[in-house]
Amino acid sequence: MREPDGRVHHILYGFQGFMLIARDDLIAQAGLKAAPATWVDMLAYAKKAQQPPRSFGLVIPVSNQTDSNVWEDVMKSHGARLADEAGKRVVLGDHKREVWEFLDYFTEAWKASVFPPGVTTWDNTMNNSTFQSGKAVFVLNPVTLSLWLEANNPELLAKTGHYTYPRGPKSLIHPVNFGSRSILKYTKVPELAKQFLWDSMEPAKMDAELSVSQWGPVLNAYLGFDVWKKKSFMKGLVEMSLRGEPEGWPDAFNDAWREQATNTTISRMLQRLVVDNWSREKAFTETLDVLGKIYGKYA
Amino acid sequence: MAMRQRSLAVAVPVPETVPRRPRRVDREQLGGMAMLLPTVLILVGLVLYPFVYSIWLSFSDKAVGSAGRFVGLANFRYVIAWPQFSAALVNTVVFTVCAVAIKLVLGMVVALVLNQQIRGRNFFRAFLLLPWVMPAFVVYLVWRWLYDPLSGLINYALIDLGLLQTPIAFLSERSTAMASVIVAHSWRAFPFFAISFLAGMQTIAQELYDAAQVDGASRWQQFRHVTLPGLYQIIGVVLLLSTIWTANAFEPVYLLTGGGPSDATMVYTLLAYVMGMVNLRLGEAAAVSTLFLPLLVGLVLAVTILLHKKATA
Repeated sequence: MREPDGRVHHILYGFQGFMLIARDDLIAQAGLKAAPATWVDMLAYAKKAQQPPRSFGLVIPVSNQTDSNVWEDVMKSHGARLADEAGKRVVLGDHKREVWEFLDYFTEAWKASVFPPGVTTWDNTMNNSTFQSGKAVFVLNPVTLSLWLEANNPELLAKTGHYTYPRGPKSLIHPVNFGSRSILKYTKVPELAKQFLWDSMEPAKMDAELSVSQWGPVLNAYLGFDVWKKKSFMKGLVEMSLRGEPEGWPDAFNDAWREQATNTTISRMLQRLVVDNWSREKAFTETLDVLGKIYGKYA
Repeated sequence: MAMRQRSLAVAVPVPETVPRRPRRVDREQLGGMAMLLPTVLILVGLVLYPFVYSIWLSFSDKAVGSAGRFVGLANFRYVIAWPQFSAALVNTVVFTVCAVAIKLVLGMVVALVLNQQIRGRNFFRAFLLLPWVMPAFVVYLVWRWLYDPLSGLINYALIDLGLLQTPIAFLSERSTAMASVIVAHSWRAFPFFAISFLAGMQTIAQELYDAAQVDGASRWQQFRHVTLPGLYQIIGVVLLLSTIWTANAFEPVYLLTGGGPSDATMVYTLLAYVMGMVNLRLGEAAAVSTLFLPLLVGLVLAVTILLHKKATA
């Protein structure tokens, strides 16, 4: 994969990321068909399919934990972005209209009570455990959840669908991260290491590896593996690998972006609205200030 | 009139220098210093060096994977302007003062009860230590489950008793989050107070209570004029230690709320953790700790002075 400095530092061997995991049976019971195509559809589905307190529509954290960063993707699918192409200057202020559309969407979802109580302090495991206990209609989660269901609750897995993220009003933003291999710069056996990389990418070898792992394919040569057909949830990984964008997209994945992500900046803006009852203007202003401080350090 | 002094140089015979063995006292002093050396080295290595290094870090832009260079007061300016800093300042004081006060009262009440001749006293004395000896991780995960709005015991009980119609998300609402964290932390830590006070009560002579009874003192008066004065020194030490431990507590907030909802339970230890361990900006994390140092010293001094006045009054 080519890095911002234009050089290849590591070679990918698998894609991974969050996907839309849905209770197809609850959706069907509500008289709905197929997966929601847009975030607006997903909210409508959630309202209709949930039966609180037995099940809740959108089981997504809005907390200070990194799983809450999915809200940044929802915001970006409304047309906003954090920084300029170079990843140096914050431009979110130029996207006020798009951000406010996103905040309106979130506020509508909040008022519709599709979130389970407690999401504002959830850690990164709570959406998993809520889905595992059968109390969720939609979650955004990696395939680890499905691997747990496969081993512990195959009945629930059979009722579960795996999809790419819905579209926003402007675009479909579905981030994908990766696993990769690199050669140490100071290795004493560079040729041997290179050969190891070539051998490890060999389709027969990767077929065996991917059948027992949770990675999506990084080469077209891997698309024919049986694992994608055998396990329904692995199909979701293929779709995600084919359609997803690099983490941070459309922003540059750099230190500044990473730091604002670990600070869960966008989720904190949402919490200001629903926990602190701040106005959109005040919450947005604070977010711009925080982003400015973070990006300013790396400019 | 000033007198002029005259000096006179005289040759004095110098005795022949004889190398003498170190006197017994010198040998003892050297031996003592040698014995202290390991302790001094440990203190320098494990206390002084990290302390000085953290001060240095707070003036550098050190991040994980980079060497770091001197940046003056930049970290302090950045941290003070950070939106959660003021919340962390207030929350740390609120958390520390409230939790220590609750632990003090609860610990004293339980110690007084366990100091009476009650059935199963030894069992209860041993049982008392359970929250204190359990790993913090286990305690706070249990409390998180107790508080859970969907499957937590507290909500179930309150709804079953007809006291609630809909569950309360204790940890996720600004109005209840800090109080919930304080209660959980106090429950875990009060046995230290109770057991220390109980030990102190054992040393108060029974004759003092007998004399007070003869004088017609009520239970409250016995507590006020016999028990409390007898415990002042212990209360002082316990309060001092607990203030330091509580102000530096990390697990209760990290495990129960992660500083949320929003910044309702953000304390300085968590802010330093986020900046240092999550954002990997060690200089900023050190600046947070350094900025809170005067506050902690102030809290400790306030407790010490207050108790010293009480004890010497």
